[in-house]
Amino acid sequence: MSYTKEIISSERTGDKYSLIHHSSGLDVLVWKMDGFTTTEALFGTKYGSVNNRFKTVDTGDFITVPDGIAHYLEHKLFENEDCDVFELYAKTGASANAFTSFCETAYTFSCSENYEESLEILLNFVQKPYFTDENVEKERGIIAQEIKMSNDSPDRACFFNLLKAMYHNHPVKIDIAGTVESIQEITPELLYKCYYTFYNLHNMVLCIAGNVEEEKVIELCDKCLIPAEDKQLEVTFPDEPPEIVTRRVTAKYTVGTPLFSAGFKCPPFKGDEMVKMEVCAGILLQMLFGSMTPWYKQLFEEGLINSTFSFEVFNAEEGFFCCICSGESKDPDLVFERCLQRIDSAKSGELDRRLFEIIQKSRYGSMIRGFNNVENCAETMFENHLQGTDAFTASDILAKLRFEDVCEAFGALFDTSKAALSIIYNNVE
Amino acid sequence: MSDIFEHKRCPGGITVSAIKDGKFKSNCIVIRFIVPLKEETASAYSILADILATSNRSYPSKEQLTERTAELYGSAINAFSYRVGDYQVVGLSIIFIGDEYTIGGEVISNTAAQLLLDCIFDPHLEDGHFSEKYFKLRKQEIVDQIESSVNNKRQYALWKAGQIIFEDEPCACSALGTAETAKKITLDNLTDAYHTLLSQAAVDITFCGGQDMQNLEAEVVKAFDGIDRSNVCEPVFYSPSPLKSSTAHGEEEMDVSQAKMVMAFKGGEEKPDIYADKVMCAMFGGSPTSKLFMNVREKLSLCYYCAAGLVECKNTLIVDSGVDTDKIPTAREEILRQLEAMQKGDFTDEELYNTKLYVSGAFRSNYDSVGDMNSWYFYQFVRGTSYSPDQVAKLVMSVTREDIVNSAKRFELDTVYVLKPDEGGVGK
Repeated sequence: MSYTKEIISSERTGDKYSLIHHSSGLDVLVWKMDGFTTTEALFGTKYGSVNNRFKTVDTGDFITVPDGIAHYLEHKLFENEDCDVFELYAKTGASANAFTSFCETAYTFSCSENYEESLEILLNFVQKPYFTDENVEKERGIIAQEIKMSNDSPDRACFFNLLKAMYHNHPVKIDIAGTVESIQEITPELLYKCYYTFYNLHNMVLCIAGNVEEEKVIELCDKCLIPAEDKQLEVTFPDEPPEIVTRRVTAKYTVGTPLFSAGFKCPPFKGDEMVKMEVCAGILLQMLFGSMTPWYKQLFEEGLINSTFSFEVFNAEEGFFCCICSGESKDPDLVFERCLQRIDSAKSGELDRRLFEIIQKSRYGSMIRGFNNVENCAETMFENHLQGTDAFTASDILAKLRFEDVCEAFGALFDTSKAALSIIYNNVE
Repeated sequence: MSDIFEHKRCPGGITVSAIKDGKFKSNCIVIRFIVPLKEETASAYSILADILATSNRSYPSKEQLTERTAELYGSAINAFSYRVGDYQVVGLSIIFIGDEYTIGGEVISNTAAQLLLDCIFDPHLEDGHFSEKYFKLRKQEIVDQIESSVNNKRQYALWKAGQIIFEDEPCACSALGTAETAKKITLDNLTDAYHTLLSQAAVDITFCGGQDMQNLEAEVVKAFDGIDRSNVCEPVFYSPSPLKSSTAHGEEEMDVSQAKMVMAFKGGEEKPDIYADKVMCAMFGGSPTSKLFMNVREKLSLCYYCAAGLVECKNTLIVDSGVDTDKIPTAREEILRQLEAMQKGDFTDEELYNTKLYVSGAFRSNYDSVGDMNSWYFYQFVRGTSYSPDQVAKLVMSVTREDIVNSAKRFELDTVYVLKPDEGGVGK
C-alpha cells in the first residue's frame, strides 16, 4: 500500500509529528518522543454518544439508533470470535483500555516494550466485529451495572441535569451509556449497522506517541489494514435554539455540602475558529472567576465557595459549546447570582489587560508541561485530528492571541440570559 | 531512562533523592513531612498544608500567590496529605517548566524553588499566629471535604470498610481526620502543629526534572538549618494489621442503586516479598486479565467492577466491588473461590508470565513522568530500598509459581463490608 506524509510542527517548542495519509483510507499520526520508555496508541473513530442519527450510501434515508449504542459497541468490540481481546494483550504486557465520549470512541494501549505486537492486536481486533444474540445479551447486564453505578454519582447527575437545562434537542444532554431502558433495544443487527457506518477507516484515525518508529508503524498498517470504501457518511443533529430550556434545576442525593454547576450556553463553532473560541473561553473563565480575581477572593472569604470551585469549556464541532463553573456551596443560588453580576460588570469594561497577559504566560507553561507526557501527546493528536485541527493549533493561537481578541470573544460567549443552574441538595437533612 | 539518580541521608532525619532526565521539559520538587497518624492531629496537619500552599509573607493571600505562580509560566504549588501505613505524610510540591523553555531564556527555577521554601519557612503570620480569617475558612473547608466523602460511593465504602478493617489501629483514621476533631482545632493548635512539623517530622525531599537542580538542592536542605531537629520521628512504615479472631461484618444502607462490597484479607506478621505480593495481587484482581476480572465480571457478570489492591504497610489485601444487591452472596463466594484457586496454584505458567510482563511494564512506565518518578523514590524510601524501576522490573520477572502460591496462602478473610441500597434507592 502507499501513503503521503505531512509534518506537523510547533515553531515554539520544536515538537513535531507525522501525519500519514494511508491508502487504506486511514490517517495515521506518529509522534516519536526521544528518551521516553512508553508507547501510547489510540485507534478510534469520530463516533460518540451524540451520533444517534445518520445516513450512508447503504442506509438510504437518515436512521435513528437507540441511546447508548456507541458505548455498547465499544464494550462488544473487545470480544473476538475466538477469545477476549484482553487475553491477546496479556501476552505482550500492554495495558489496554477503551473509552466512549460524546463525539469519539477510542481503543488504546500503553506499554513499555513489544509495541509492535500490541499494535498488530489493536489494528486487527478493531477491524473484526463479532456480535451474536448471545454475546450481546450477556453484555446487557454488565452495562446496566455500569449505568447504575453512574446513577449513584451526584457529580454526574449535577452535570447532566445542567446539560438538560441548557439543551432542548441536542443529544449531548443524553448520558453516554444511555439508560437501562434504552439499551434493551440494542441488537446485533443494530450494532453491525453502526459499526459499518462509523468504523470505516475514512472516519477513523490511529495515533501513536512515545517510544515508536514511524517505518514500523507504516509496515504494520500495510499488513493489517483492510482498505475501506468511502460510504459518504452524513450525520445530522436536531435544530437547537440558542435559548436555554430552564433557568434552574434541582435534585436530591446523599451529599455533604450542596453541589452546583452553572452553565453559559454559547453558539457552536467549527475548526480553527472553534479552537480560538475555546482558548478565549478558557482565558475568560480564569479572568472572570479564577483564583487570581477579587471576585474569587470575596466569595471564598465569605465562605460561599471552597477549593472545589472549578470551571471548564465544554465543546465540540458536533454543535455544542458552553462554559461551566462547578463546585460546592452552602448557597448555590447566591453563587450563581454573583457569577451573573460578574458578567454584567465585565460587560461594562472590567476586563483586566494585565491579568490577561499573566494568564497567557501561565497557559503557555501548562502547554509545555503537557508535551512532556506521552499519553497527553497521543490524546491531543487524536482529539484535534477528529475535530479537524492539529495538536499545536491551540498553542499557536494562544501565542498570537491579543487582549482585544478576548474582549471580542467575551461578547459572543457570555450572555446572562443563556445561563442555567443545576443544584444537588442533600436528601438527608 | 534517568541520566542521574542520587539518594542521600542528611543530618536531622532528612532524606534527599535527585533524578535528572534530560527528556523532561519541566521540573518538580516535593517536600514531605512524615508524622505518626493520630485522629487528634490529622486535621490540623491537613489544614496547615493547605494554608502553607496558598500564602506566604510576601504573598499573603491565595489570590496574590496564584498570580505569582502564574507569572512563573503557570508553576503550581500544591498541598497534600495522605496515609502511608500508620503515618501521615503532609507537604508541598512545586512544578515548573525548565529554564530553557521560557520565552527569551528567563531563569525561573531559582525563583520557583525559593517560592516553595518561603511558603514553608516564611509563612504569612499575624502576631506570631497564622491568619485567623484564613484559618477559619480552611477549617470549614476541611469539614466540608470530610462530609462530602459520601459523594463518591466507591471511595466512601472503602473508607467505612477501613474503619472496621483497621479497628484500633492509627490507619483507621483518615488523613483529613474527622469532622468532629477538625471543628475543635484552635489557632494555637495550628501554630503548635507547624512548629512540631518543622522540628519533629521525618523529611523526605525529591527533585525530579530535565535540568540539574544541585544548586536548588543545597538551598532547600539549608532551609532546615537553625531548626532543632534532635527529636525527629523515625518512621517504621511496616506494621502488619492483625487478623481478627472471626470475620467482622459491617453493613450500611443508603439511597444508592448499586451495592458496594469490600472484602479485606490479612497476610500475617511476617514481612513479605513485596514484589511477589504485587504479582499475586495483579493476577488475582489487579489487571485486565486477572482472575476477578475474567471470572467475576466477564464470565459470570456478577459485578461491574471487582478489583484487588494491596495496603502494603499493613500487609492487607482489599477487594472492592460494585454489585447488584441480590448477587452479593454469589459474588462473595466467587471472590473467595478465586483466592482459593490462587492458593492452590490453579493458574497456568503462561498466566504467570503474562502477569509478570504486565507488572514489570507498568513499573517501567514510571520513567516517563516527573510526578511518577518523584513518587517512585518516595515509596522506595518507605520500603527501605532504592531500586530503580528497571531493577524492580527484573525482580518482578524473577518471581516464581511457588512465590505466588506462598503469597496467596498468607491471606485470610478478615472483614466484609457492604453498602447497600435502602428501600427508596432501588431502581432510582
